[in-house]
Amino acid sequence: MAANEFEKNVRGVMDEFKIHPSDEVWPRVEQRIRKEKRKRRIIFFFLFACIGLALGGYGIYNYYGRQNVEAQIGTAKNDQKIQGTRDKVQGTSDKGQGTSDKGQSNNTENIKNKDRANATNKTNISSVVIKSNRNPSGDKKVVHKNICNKRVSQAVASMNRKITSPRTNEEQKENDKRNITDRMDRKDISVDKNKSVVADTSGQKLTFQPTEKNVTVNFAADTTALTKQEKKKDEEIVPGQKSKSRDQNFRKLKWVISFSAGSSTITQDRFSFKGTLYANSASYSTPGTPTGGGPGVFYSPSPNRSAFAFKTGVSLAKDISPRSSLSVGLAYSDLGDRIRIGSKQGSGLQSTNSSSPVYYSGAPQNTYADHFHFIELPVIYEWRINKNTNRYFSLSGGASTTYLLSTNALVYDTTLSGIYYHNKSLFTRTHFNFLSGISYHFTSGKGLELNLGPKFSFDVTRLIKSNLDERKYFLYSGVEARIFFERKKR
Amino acid sequence: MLSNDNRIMDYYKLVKNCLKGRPDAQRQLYDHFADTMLGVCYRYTKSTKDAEDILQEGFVKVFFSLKQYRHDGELGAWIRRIMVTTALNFLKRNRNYRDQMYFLPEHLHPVVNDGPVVMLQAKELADLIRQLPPGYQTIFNLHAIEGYSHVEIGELLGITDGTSRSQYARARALLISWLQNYPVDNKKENYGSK
Repeated sequence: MAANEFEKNVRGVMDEFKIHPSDEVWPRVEQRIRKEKRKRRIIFFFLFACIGLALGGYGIYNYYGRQNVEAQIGTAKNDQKIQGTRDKVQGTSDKGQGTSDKGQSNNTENIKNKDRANATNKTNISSVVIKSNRNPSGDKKVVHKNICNKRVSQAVASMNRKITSPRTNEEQKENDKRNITDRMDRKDISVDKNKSVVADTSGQKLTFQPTEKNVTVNFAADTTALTKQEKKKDEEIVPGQKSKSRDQNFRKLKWVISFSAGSSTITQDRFSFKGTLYANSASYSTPGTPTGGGPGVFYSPSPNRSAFAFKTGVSLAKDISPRSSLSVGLAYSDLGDRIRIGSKQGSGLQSTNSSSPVYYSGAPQNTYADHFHFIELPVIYEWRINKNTNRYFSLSGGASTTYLLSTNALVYDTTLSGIYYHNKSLFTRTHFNFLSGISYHFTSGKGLELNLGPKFSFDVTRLIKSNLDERKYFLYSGVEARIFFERKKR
Repeated sequence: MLSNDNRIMDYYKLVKNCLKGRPDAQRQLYDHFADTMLGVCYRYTKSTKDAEDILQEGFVKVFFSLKQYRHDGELGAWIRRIMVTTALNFLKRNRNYRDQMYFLPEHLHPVVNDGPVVMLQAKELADLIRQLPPGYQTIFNLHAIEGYSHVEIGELLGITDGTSRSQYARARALLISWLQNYPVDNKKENYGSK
């Protein structure tokens, strides 16, 4: 054991060994920490952006990919859809019979397209309104559609082709008969044997009476004009379908009114959540003033604190895939921060580029709130996390261009031992922001669509052009509420 | 004087605040351990500037690894291990040290019971250790002061434990001879620190 005595002695002596490091070490450590954190933040942001882009790309690819596949499937399927449409229209045409004369005289036919027969198929066809001006010979048609779904437009185009094609009644009859029997075989439509199925083909009523083994198809001249009440009734009688399903909402333009409240601050670094932290706002002696030749106290810039901020605006949102949407809008934002300044001084400010002769001393006595009024043009991509159509979480990311309308902010200057003054020319007018957030979407009891969640906005354009004032980039964080309104049909 | 419980509680709060990114807590942690840790770094290097570089690098690692600290051991010991690892990496990376840190496999030198009683001050002893060749210096620090076994040292430095033993024996013998001949009155003449 004596052999370890030397080691014990050495260890005992060295345990007490301390050396005080030079003052330069800590600032270097601190600088390294901040720098590394900033790097991590930027990496995180780009990772988030990449994920967003990948998801967006996937959604768009999926959307167009499905479109192409369906386009390849071809006209046959569209024919079936149209056939289903005709079946449904005819289903409500009994009442329309009474107004058919009037409808014919006006040469107007309104068809409400809601594919009831395909409800079991769960197709994504939105409602279609087709106004067809048709003369007795059936040559001229005008088709209006208020949908965005290209698949539906393909169906409509196919329908037009059918309408315009100079087929004889016999050909048409055979074709329609074949379609219905095919669909029956594939169980696309359910048939109540006690009831007849009625379809409309180019102004003719197709009555279909199913029996055990044979199919009877009859044609009768008919044109239909659906009244609003009938449309409502049509919607109500669709079994197992909600009055406002996702299929209906999907790809409609929606007006969005948004309001967001939170706090904003001006940071030294991009994508940082911290305000400017100057070494100390306390004053320190100016070099070369022990004799009292100059001002005895120098005021360093005040550390800034976050202040209340809000944003409000209107935007237009559109679904670009079943789980993602894009919105473009116009917003107003009131951002700012709080600094500590001294008393207001009179005129006499000559050495700075100030637009106002009034300035404030740098002594941290009073709190001053800087306000910045911006107008924004945000473009936001939103991706729904879960598939529930009524209640879902969504991630959003985007960018906005903002323009500084006005401000009452003060700028720091080292003149006169540190002062604050107004100079609007030192603020950058046009800014570029990145936006991100997460939100919860739900429908209220009154059928109002609401969206609520935290939002962040990172300014990447430097705010103050002066190098003496270290406040550089705006950061806004708050809670945003959005109300959705469906765009009215014309 | 803080009791152990209070100290643990203080360290717990300190670490928690550091993890929140509070600059004042980070500064407090640095101030609390910087002197001791610079003493550690000092023993592994030949100049104070290098020691401060290691200290800086070590504290950056400490702040970024702090979330891995489980409060199951002494915070100082945990930071010390980071400093030692940082110092070893520095020695391997720095050409001035790397070129002199060669470990030739040598015959085992048994550690004899000839250790004198160390009557020097800590600074003087540290300066003596710094006079050792870098290889000896590193192994002596790791084994005699930090308490690493030769197997652990072998793993850290990429050498066999036998090499570590023999290097340590030589370092120890050399240091003892210096201590035995250490002039009490004019110590700086023989062992002037850099």
